[in-house]
Amino acid sequence: MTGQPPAIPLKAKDYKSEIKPVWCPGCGHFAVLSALTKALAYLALPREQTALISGIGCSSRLPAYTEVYGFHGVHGRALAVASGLKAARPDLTVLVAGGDGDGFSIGGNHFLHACRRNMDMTYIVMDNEVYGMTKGQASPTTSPDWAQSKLTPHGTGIPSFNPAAIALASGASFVARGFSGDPKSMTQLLVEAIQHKGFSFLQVLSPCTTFRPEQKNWKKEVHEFSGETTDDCVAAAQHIQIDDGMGAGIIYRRELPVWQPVVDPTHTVAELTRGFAL
Amino acid sequence: MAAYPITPASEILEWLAPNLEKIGGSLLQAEDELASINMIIGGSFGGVPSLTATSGPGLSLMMEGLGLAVTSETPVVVCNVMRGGPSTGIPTKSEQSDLNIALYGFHGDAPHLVLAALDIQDCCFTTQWAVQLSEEMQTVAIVLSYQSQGQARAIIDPPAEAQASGIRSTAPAGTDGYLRYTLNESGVSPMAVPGTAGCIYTADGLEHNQKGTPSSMATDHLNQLDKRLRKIVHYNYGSDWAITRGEGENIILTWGSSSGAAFEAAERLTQQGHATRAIAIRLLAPLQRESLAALLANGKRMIVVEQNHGAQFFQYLHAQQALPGYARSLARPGPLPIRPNDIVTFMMEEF
Ligand SMILES: Cc1ncc(C[n+]2csc(CCOP(=O)(O)OP(=O)(O)O)c2C)c(N)n1
Ligand code: SF4
Repeated sequence: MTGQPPAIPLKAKDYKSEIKPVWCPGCGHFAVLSALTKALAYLALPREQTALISGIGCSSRLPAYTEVYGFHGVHGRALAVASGLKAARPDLTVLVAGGDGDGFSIGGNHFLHACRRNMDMTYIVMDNEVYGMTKGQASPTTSPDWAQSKLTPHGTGIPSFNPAAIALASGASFVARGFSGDPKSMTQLLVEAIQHKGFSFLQVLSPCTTFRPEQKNWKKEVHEFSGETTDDCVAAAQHIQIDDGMGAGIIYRRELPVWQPVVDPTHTVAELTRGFAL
Repeated sequence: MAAYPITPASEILEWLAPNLEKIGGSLLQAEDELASINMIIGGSFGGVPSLTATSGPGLSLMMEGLGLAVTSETPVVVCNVMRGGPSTGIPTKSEQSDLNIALYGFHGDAPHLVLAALDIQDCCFTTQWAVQLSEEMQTVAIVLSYQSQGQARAIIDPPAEAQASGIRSTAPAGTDGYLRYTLNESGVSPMAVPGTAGCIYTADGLEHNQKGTPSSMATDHLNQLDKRLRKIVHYNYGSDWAITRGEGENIILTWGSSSGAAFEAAERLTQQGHATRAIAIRLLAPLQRESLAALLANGKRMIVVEQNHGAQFFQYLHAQQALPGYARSLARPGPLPIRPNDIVTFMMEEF
């Protein structure tokens, strides 16, 4: 079952499916799809040995648009599906994708535990600071004074969630931030995230043109991450606090023990059964 | 296997964690039941038979995931060791009150299997059968067990082995024009396991067409609903779906863990000159209605026995029009088990 390296190198388009994305024109998620297929082609990953798992949201539609094995599950649970898959099939390259609502709100608990479990997988969160699919409500990363949603007419009034800080504090071994408006750098970040052994977290600032049109300005606001890439989590935490949240780059990278369940077959089922004999 | 600890299901996990490892499996302790159900869905999507164990509160949390398993046709088994409910209820005592959630807890139309172990020994047979059925039909099987089974120790004869094939239909590499959710007579469509070249697809909990592409077309929805129902309805379950002991025109009908008391009550009634048969149902859904009708033939008196307050089993059978008009309900909540004597007394008073 293990995939042979393809005779003819695959191109980015070979990792794209025929299905046309349902995304709005100008949605940042298009660039993530394109960068991901480029990264997969660059890494020459066999398509059948790669799995892309997601939850629900505009961003979570990603798997069907790629030509790798996919699982489009329920809202917020992508990391759990991916962890079960990786535990059962360590031979696969496991990628997980979703939105800020999917990953940080309904799926927040899984985010914490996936970071600390440090299984070898890559988690891409397309952060548009809004729930796109459900017509524009505030998400955990929305700033407290954004009052454009009918559900929060005065803004949420709650400080926003800092995904990189939480990932770092929870034990992720690779933390990076990218911008879909800079596809070249994002492709590079994806390549490094996938190559990293352990849980790689990549927050991609990916504008929602429909519900957050002001995010067009992100082109001007995004800058290179203010700190150097480090393997020191205290330094990384400081860098994250100093940065305004718009800095793109690899924030933290460290080789930490990668978790996989212990599998050490020493018995047959018949032998175990015999253990019950009186 | 993935699971989150809960009384009275933890004993299953405690035994399996060290022992699964020895045969090449593993148990992941998940962060919650939302995770554990989705983790086993992931494992099963990867081609490895996967199951979890929980109790009522955990099963409630798993329901959305179970709907996903039904729709994406990912086989998984949940062993639900029942305790007194609802809410935290009576965690350390038995009740047969999770039948309704097991049967009806899903949103949408979600055909699946519900089985119940009759006693400690039967936990092996029923769970093994559930895994086999779930793998063959690529669907969800919920196995209902019971606190006093889950937390007891007993010396038993070697349990019988379930005899279904348990083989998951998979797609060979390079299947031409592979369609994950293809429509066919059996309703079971070959599943490509990741790693299989030339059969790449995306499994989806969104309604989909045969290829797996999300679709809200009326025909796709109807076809896929029909398919997911067909595979379960057309399957030949053989004779293991129920057990009958004794004969006579008096009938005691029960399920799961009240079976022992029912068998004993039937024996006592027969000895007292009231010939009684007891029928215990192991496969609760899909209900084998026609076979049940045959087992109920020539009855004169009948009681339906279960350990819950709402007569859940009795109502289910009525909704399925599986009961004669003369059937009466003996339904009592936990924590005390239903004893043979309760059944004998009820039968004598009622008739
Ligand atoms: C259990 C559950 N609750 C709510 C929803 C509705 N819902 C679907 S997508 C979504 C939010 C999506 O936002 P995000 O994850 O940020 O992705 P985006 O659409 O912005 O890419 C919500 C609330 C759901 N599908 N399931
Ligand atoms: S609603 Fe926003 S996130 Fe969703 S597709 Fe449209 S632009 Fe993208």
